[in-house]
Amino acid sequence: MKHAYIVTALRSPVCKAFKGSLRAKRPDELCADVIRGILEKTPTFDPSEIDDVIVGCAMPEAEQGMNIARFTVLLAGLPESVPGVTVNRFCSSGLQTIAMAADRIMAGQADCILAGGTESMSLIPMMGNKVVASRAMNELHPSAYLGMGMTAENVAADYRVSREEQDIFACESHQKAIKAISGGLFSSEIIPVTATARLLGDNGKVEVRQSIVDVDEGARSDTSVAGLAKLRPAFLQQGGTVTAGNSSQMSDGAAMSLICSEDFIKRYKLNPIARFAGYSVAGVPPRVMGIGPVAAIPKACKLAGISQDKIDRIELNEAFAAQALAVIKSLKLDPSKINPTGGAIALGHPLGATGAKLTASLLHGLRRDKQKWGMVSMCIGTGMGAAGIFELL
Amino acid sequence: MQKDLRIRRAAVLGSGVMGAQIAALLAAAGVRVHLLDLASTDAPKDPKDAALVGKNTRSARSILAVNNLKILKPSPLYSMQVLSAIIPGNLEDDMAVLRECDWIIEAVIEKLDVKQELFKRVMEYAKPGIPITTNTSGINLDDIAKNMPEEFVTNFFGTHFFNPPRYMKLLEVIPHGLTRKELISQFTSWSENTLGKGVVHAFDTVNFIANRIGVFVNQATLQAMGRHGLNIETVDALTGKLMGRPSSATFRTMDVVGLDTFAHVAKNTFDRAPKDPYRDWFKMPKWLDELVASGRLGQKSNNIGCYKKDKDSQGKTVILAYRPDEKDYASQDVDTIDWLNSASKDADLIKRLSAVIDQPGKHSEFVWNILRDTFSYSALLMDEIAGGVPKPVDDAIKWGFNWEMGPFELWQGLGFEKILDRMRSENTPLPEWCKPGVKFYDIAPSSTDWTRRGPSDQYFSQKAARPKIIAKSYDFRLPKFALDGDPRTVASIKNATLLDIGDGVACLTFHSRMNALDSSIIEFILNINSKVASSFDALVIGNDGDAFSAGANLKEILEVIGKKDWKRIDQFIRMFQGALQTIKYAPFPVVAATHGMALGGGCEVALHCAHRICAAETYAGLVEIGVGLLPAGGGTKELALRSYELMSLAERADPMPFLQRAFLLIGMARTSTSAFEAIDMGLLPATSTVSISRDHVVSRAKDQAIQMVKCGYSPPLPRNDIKVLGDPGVQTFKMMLYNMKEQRQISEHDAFIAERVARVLCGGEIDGGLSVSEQHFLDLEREAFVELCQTEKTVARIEHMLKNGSPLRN
Repeated sequence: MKHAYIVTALRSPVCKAFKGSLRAKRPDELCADVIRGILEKTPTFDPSEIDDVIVGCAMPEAEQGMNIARFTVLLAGLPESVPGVTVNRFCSSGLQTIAMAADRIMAGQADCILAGGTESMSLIPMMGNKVVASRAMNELHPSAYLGMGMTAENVAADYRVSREEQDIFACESHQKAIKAISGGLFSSEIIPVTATARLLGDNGKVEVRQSIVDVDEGARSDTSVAGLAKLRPAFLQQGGTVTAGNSSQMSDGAAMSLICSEDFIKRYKLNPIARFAGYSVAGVPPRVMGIGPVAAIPKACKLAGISQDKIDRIELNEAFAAQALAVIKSLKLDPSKINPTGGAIALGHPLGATGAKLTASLLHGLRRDKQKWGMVSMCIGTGMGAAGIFELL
Repeated sequence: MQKDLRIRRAAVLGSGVMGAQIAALLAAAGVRVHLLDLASTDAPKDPKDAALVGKNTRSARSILAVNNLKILKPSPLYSMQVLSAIIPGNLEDDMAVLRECDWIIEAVIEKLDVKQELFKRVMEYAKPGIPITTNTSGINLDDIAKNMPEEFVTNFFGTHFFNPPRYMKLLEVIPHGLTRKELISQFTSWSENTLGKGVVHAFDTVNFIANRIGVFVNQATLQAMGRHGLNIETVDALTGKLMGRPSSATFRTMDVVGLDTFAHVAKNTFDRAPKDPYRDWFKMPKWLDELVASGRLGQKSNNIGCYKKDKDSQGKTVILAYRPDEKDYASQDVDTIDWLNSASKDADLIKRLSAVIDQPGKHSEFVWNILRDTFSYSALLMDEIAGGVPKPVDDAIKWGFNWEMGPFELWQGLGFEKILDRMRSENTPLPEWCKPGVKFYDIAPSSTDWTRRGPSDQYFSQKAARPKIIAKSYDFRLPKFALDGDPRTVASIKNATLLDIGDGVACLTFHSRMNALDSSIIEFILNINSKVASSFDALVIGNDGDAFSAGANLKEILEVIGKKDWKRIDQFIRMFQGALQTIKYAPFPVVAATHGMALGGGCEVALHCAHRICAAETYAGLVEIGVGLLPAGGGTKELALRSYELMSLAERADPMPFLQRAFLLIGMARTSTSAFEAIDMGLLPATSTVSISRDHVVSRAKDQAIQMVKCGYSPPLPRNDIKVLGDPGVQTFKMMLYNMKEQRQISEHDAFIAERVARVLCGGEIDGGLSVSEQHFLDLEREAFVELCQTEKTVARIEHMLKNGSPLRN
């Protein structure tokens, strides 16, 4: 089988939903901005050679509906001949698309694919605008409809993760993120994007205000364990341990990768960052969806042909501190390898974009710290886990 | 004809707690209010405050005061929306707005020179002839008016609101010697009609009427307490509901108001009224002075005052009472008083007190002493503070201190001569005119006529030495029980009466306990329908009780459940639904006049009327889930229909968000804190009219009904084409309930009931988009109701409510 290489992995800054700088930015335009950035950084090839654009999105409706991938292609200024497809596997969508692109290339069915994800949680609510439950699901699997926060409470209870452990984990996430931001560590992976606000001016006319957004906005320098300890449980009011402070933030963001075959790289003299080494997904009980990575990671390691302890760096999505800690405990992962520049509790979790966003952070981090093997993993609503493994070149 | 005052824009000067709350009240009454305070020079230090104030640093005081209205308890805001009618500003940059104002009220610091200085500046801007008033309680109006321009003097008077102004009915209006009489009378009508206040005209005397008498009663209580050696909690047991006063009685009221405030008002009387007949009593007892000096002022000082909120060894909250002798707090120990329980049970205050004061022993002596001294003081001061008329004194005390009856009403009710004899035998100080034969009112309080007509429209005037006619404050008094001899009665049963209230309008009034609806009332509604249709043009539903209706009579339902007579329950609901459908589809308009609680079945009655005039203090809610039931008189149906109606306005619209709102209203048993809120939360239809004045709701409902008749009223057309959400909707609600249950927000039985509510709202577990009739919803309501009655947990909830008056969550 052929190899698939990640040539470029970039992302937008990730901003808080509803009040952040990207709250009014359409997710298709945001993703198009990232694609344009990738093309600028990779100027040597002809964009009409792109075989497909695969965009992950967890709530593909309304502003994210109508096959957002195709709209993104057109908005990015790619030739009309370039196609686009939207993929949804909730929180792993952005990693799923990279894996699907790699699969096509490894099978010899394509040479150059743009893959990643985009999500505006400001514009599209969790579960979408219209939720209609099914009678059969209510009867057979009601827990598949359980809110994410409650699944985290279940994980905390089943795996005995204390409130204090969660708060410490959350606080560290902020501290690592603040350190990374102030050290400029994300500058190589972030494409600055333009946010346009159309406000009602003092004269009653439309006032268009544009700003460049180039920094992640979620991390707080003033977070403390004592401060987090004061927050009330957000989902299980009585006896709960999961709070807004030790859960991931709702965010807006987009991230894309350029994935190419060896032939393509040679033809255009491209300089790839990493090789795609394997990807797997696995199902777990919906009521404890947060432990998904426990099922997915060993599978992915087996596919990649390496043992878990060989992995130098892990981007483990922090949907909730409770589930991240349960995964770390269960698989005996080395905490020092996990999320060295902070995780979703500090930096945000733009659902369908997260997989690609974490891939960008992982690959730039591996390169920066001269490490070899890296992994991206996350839990997935309704009870799944995903893990993807990359080898730095 | 007297010209009406039109107050559309007003300015409140001073944004302290009173100023801001007065602004909130005016805003709710439809007045645009400028709230002005001193200009600030620096931005607030607190970053949150600074963010609120933004660039408008100079108006920081009033901006923050408006924001503070959101957190004050009890809430001064009928609805969050009234905030948009309050425009913050400052007394330097925004004085020009006064040019547009129709009323300027000052509520700044109690300093004569500050007030005078401010009024001089106000006069540079004020429109000619508008009322310019002060909310002062401690400065003579004549002093303020001294050396002021004539334009000010003639339009200046006092408007003394009681705290909290939204809830306290009393507004003392105090003219001084040169105030234009016409302006006072115009302002009075406006305040009664628009602001819903009970206006009492007071003289420019120390502490005016309510505080003068009210604080005296407090002092008299302290005297009697010392005389008879009673402790704090025993005093409160005797001076609360038993005497027709608020249950917070003497010392709990002092704790709530603040001991310092009481001490201040008492001192004010002592200092400024040297000729007061009981002047020495206005000195605070030493122990109270000590509490004030040590900062133990009551609620505002961490609940330490006359009482102290504390925790016992098990961490349970306990309320300890102060022991002046020991200078410490101890567990409460109310004296054993053998007659207290039986006396408290009589609903008639006069009968209650008559029985008490004839008892032997120090406790009845104590009660008598307070009454005696109150009567004596009120009579001695009537001339000075109220121009020799009893009614303002009675009204002021009733509306300012929430007494059931005022001192003169009580005196006459207890028998004027009998009381006079006893007072004379005890050498009680009395004015000369207090002789046998005096009548404060031309009809006796507690007589049938009194119940029918209220405090009469004639009152005794000591000065005129003959009865005098005064204007009626409102048009209707509705019977609080089945009343013989009311010429307006068309039909009557024990718990409801149909009255002819004139001009072709009938009035259906409930007078059961809490105006709960039982089968006799429902049958009555069905029976009167043809009578109203044949003899009247319109029907008003309203009453003069404490509540519009607290809901269905649970005791009656529980009895039938006890007999497992499910057929009877089904029939009862069928009848209830039938009665309310009759109201909805009557060939004449039916207008509800709501006030106080309009809960459960009471709310359903209001929902089925063609229109509603709601007193602002209407507490509406479909709260059946609290007793394990669902609204089945058509209430769930009405909320469902309204949701589907909204959906029908647009193509392919989704009714779910609207149904979800209805679902939460019923499922969470949400009760509005005002009529405005009931509309905002989607419970009462937006077409409902809110009346800030409680007194006017029945007469306004009558006017509304007449208007509807004049405009060619036609009843709504029955609908059989309602496209429902069906089973997909039910399943979605079930999903929500599953989550709420997992989050332990609701119990298993809550979910069980709520699922049945969902079934009704969605039109049953049928395919989405099918058309059904209104009756289909009623059938679903009824089936669910009967099913719920057969569950143990619902029975437990009903029993708990009847026993404890609070819902059980099982």
